[in-house]
Amino acid sequence: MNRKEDKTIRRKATQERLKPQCEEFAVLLADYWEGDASAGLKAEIEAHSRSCPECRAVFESYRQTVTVCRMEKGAPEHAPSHKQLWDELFHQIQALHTYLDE
Amino acid sequence: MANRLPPQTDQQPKALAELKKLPVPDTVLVERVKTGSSEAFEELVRRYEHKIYSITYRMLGNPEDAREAQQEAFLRAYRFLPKFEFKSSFYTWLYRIATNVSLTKLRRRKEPPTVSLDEPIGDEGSGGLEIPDDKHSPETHFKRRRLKDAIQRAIDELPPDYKPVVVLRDMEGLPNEEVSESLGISVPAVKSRLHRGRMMLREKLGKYMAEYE
Repeated sequence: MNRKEDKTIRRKATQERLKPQCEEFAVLLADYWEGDASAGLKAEIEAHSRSCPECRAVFESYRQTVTVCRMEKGAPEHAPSHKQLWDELFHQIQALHTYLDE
Repeated sequence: MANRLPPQTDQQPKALAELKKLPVPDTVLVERVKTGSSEAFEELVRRYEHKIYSITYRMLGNPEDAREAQQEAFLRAYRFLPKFEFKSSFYTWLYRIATNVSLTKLRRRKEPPTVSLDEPIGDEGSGGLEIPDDKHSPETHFKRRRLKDAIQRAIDELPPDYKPVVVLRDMEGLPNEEVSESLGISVPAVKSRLHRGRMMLREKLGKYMAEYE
């Protein structure tokens, strides 16, 4: 599905307030998770995911994907210490100044 | 004349001490760096070093390249700071530099990572995706580690257009508007790439997540 089709589906679902069908469900998930769906559309998406097992599976796996990615927030434990980084940077900054002065 | 000044109270030194504790805004530090203060630049580095490392690591997938890109990003920021005109916030400008440095490194890599998500991640496969509260058990630690590795491998395999959007939005928690500013693309483009990136991650992590259900 290309971007133009995405937009058309969004327009149809938000402006004409059509019930989300399976083919547009995945596209509307983005609006749902980014808080761009109206309360009505949000309720329709939830209702559709309850009644359609395939879309419920998509909804659940999308939710899990976003959740596990957000759990990863923060610097990994192998990040260099400030001293390690700054010592190296300071050295490089001095070298840069020497180069620019020459 | 001296009597015109309000009498000293115990409150004034306290208020002054509190004021001194307030962090100096980035804009002030940037101006100080422009006039040659390396202390101000060190403070900016201290403020953003973890965030920048996190971005470069998510983008590049290994600690060695991530460290190199982190250094390069700060060095580039230092070099181009005299031209920084506050058209955006300092940190979104810095995130943009870190993202660009990482993308350049990715383009220069001759061979893409060969690790596939189809490969078995380990021989243990039970438990739930919801990580239990028992944070200290070796089993929980192991599951968490495997999940982290699988996510990073999935991120590694995202196309370069989608990767920075997913990293900045979902992993670093930036609002869509700041992702847009950091990457120099429109907010609708951020949302569209984010959705496509998430759908790809979902497919890549699908098998892995199913193992845990």
